Amino acid sequence: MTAARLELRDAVKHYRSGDEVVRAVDGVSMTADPGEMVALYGPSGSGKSTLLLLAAGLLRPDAGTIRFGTRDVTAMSDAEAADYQRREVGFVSQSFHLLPGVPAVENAAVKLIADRVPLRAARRAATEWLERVGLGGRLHHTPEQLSGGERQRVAIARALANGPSLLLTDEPTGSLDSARGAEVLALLAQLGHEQGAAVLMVTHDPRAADVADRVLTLRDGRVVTETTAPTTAGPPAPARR
Amino acid sequence: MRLEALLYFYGRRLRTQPVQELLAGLGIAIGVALTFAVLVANSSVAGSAEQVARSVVGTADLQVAARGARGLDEQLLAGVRATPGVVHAAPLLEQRAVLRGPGGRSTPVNLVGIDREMAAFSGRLAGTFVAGGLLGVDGIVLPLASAQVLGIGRDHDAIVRDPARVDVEVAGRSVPTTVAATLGREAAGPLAEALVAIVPLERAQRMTGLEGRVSRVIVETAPGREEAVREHLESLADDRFDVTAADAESALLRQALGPGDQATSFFAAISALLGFLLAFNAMLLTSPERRRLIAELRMQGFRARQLVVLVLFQAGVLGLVSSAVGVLGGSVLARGVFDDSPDYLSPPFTLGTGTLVGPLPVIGALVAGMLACALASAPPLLDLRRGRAVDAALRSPGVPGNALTSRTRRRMLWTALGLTAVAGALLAFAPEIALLASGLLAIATVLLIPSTFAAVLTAAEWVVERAPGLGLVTVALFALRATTLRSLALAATGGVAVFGSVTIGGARDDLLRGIANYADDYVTTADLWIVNPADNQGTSEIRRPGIVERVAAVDGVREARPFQGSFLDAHGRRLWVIARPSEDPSLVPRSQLVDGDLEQTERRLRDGGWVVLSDQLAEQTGTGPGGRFALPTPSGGVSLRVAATTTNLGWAPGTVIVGRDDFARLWGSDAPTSVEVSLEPGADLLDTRAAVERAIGADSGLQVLTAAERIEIINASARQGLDRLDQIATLLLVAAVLAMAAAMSAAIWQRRVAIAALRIQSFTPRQLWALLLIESGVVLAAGCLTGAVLGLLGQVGADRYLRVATGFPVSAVPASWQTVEAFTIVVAAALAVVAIPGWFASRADPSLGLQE
Repeated sequence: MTAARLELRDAVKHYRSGDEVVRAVDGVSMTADPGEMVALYGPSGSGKSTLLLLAAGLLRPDAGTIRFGTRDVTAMSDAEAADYQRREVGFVSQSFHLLPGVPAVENAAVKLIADRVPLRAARRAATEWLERVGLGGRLHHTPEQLSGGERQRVAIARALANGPSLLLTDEPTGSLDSARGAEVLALLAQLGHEQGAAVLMVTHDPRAADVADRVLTLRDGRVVTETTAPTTAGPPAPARR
Repeated sequence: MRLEALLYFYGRRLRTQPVQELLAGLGIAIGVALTFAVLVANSSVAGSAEQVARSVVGTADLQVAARGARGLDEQLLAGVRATPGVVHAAPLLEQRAVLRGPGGRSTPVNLVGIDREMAAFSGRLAGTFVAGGLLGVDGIVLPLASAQVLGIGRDHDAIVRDPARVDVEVAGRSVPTTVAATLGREAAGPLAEALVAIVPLERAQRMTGLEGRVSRVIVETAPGREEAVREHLESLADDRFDVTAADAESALLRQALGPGDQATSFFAAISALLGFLLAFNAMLLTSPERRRLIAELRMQGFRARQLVVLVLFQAGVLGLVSSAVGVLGGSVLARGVFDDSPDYLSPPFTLGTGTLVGPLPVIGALVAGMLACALASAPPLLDLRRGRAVDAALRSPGVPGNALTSRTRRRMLWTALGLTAVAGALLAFAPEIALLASGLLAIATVLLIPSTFAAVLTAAEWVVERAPGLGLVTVALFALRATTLRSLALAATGGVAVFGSVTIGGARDDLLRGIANYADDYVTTADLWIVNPADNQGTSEIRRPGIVERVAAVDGVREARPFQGSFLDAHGRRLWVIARPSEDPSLVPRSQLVDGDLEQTERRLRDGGWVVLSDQLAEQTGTGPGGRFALPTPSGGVSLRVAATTTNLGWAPGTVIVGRDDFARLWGSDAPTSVEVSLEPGADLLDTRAAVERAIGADSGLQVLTAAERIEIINASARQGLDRLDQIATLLLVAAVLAMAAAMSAAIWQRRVAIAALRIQSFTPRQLWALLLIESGVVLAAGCLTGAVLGLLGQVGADRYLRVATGFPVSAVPASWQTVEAFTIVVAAALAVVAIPGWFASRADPSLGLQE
């Protein structure tokens, strides 16, 4: 893993829905440094998830630039983008998207397997990560046999198994109760710091502000507030742009 | 539950899962269409022939029929008419002929000579031909079917103003004549569909060289006098003619069609099983949703009985609609694809060409389709079992509703092994029901697939553990484990299709190979054959005096030998009697001998008093080598000793081989039915053939064929006769490939969210596409492999049925190219079709993966 800074400059992504143009991301500039956790707040449709997909290189912006370290994500070919996603990016989503019926260790290894890592080595690495997220005793349980929090931990282990320098998480606590949610947030912050990875987290969870280094609030595709100091009482107040 | 509520829930289902509902309906429709088409086509051959026979004999109830092609003396007619209780009696002369029309088109027909007495029977033939004054016209009258084959058809009944000239080739002579009229359905009824040519009796007698002879006399008896008349006619016949029901032909045809119909019906049953699996498969696609619906409704207070009614109502509606579509499709298939009557039956029987659809197959098809649909819909009802949690659908492992416990898998395996063992026992000890064994194997194929599938997955996992770089296969295997039941149903569909195709196609190939072996042995005794056209069995007489001597005198000819044969109605079947010349190097086809010593058998045939029977005929008449066989001949009944048994030489009702001297004496005729010609060493085959053609005369209407040409004609006729099996096997594969591809495509489309999630996990579209293809390939391979292996056993069963139960010559070669072909076609074609939606699905928008 190479520590690197994520930098979006005037990123724009519009969709067409019938005759209407949806400005999902409308000129967003932001950064996330290695080891830094940035939380993205905002109502539904404010462009948070689109921002994550842009950062992951899964969507191409209509305008603006996205850089990760020295690499220009915007200019990457499809093959380069795939390589970037495989090597540099880890992704955790609200609904886990674990393969049903498949043991935790293999679910966590799936990304390594896609990257042609030999199966045994992939399993070994996945096992280490599952142990780090506290699932060492549930390696061979299938998603159906795990609780919501445990499933999210498997998803986190999967995202981190390839040692990403950019961790993108979309509502990682959305499906969890408050206790489990707090655990997962703390885990993400801890792992991000330990790994030196930039963490970009889309969330509605007010506790995210407790662990995030910076909080950006989005509305209608734009960053409307930015708070660098953690707060303990819900989303940050509007800030000067 | 109120009808309104039932309709509401069904409407909701149609709105939410229209594609799956369509696929399920398609599966049922395909199964119903194939089965219905085969049943209709089978019943049509006999049914239309019956209609033709009835339109000839009208109100006649008895007949006195000759036992050979030479017929009986028409003087007998007077005796018949004088019999107390006979109201009407009329003579008929029937001979096989070939009509050659303008432009060289030709068709074999039954040349029928009738006289004005026929009018008394009120049959269609009588009504139009006699009462219509056609007896007086010069020329022949053709039903529309015959005329159309010759390219001189009219679409209405007409006296032809500009008579077309045709040659009637019959009994070794070619007689030019004109077509006086064509008869459409309005005038001739079912007879319009028959390949016959009608002429006045005397003219028929002159054409065929049978002056003063008739084939049969049909009789109408006074009410209540039939038995007395029959007894009197039997004493008149003195065991030289047969006295039978006037429509005896129909029973004989049904007997001849029996084995073929059973075989095609069995294959239709496999089609039905396949259709059921297709529907089951499509239903499984929606199983999770339907299980959830049932769970939710139970939580809302619905009782189990209401839910059963709900499921059955939905199944009933879908079954009814899709079965109706299937019946329509089947009718189209029966008329457009399965409409050919087997050529090999046309020399001894007058066949119709119409397709008959009765009410029973329609009702049967609708009921069967609804039952199949109800069965396919039933699995979610298992959640209603006592003790099962209401939310079982939400808690079971893997994709909801797709788990198959290892206990269930083991049970299915043991049941499959049990069925295979029973099938093996049936094959060994009860060959007459060997088709049932093949049916059991088809079911075993379905039951075995979970174990085969698990074995394939385990083997694949073992390989990827040891082979680096197969990461995608590993992920594909994960996904397959998660969607077990759906994958299994898809695999079972491919399995049954390949099973059916291998069984049907393999048995057909083995039968063709067996017939080719027989044809080779039967024909290669001579270099050239002189035969009546379209007379593969050599049963039509060549009434051309001195023909054998003239041919023998041709330069290059070493020997010309008269061959004789005939069809004979005996023991409730139309037997093929063969009498080869004693000088022939071989009297019995060596490859077809079942029981007996070949050299001793041929010596005995030459000595006389002995007979060789087809094995099944011997068994059913309770005799065998060393026993005796009663043969009713034109000169009276005789009892001959059985020297050996053979296969049926491709003639299902049975064959009888007798010495030529015996035949000439018993049938009272020296006229050959074909002539075998052996050449001098070094003589040029084609030059000598040309010389033989000159010697027999251009007006003979006879064909001079090389042995190779005759073999090819016999093989082509066999192929045509088995066309329906080939068509069923092909349709089975096409239907399975399309339906599987559709089901797989729908399943892939349903997984777009999961696929998008994998894209977020850095899988490229190309990797995802490969992943989907690998998954589909593993499913197809597991199913088709099981189908291919059990299909080979099924082929053994079908072969054994054909060989032992029907006596057909079968040359079994398992694991033929056909097996590989069926396997490859299903896998490759389904993959090719699935590749398209797979390609689009693999490019699913990644944002889909972020949705809940």
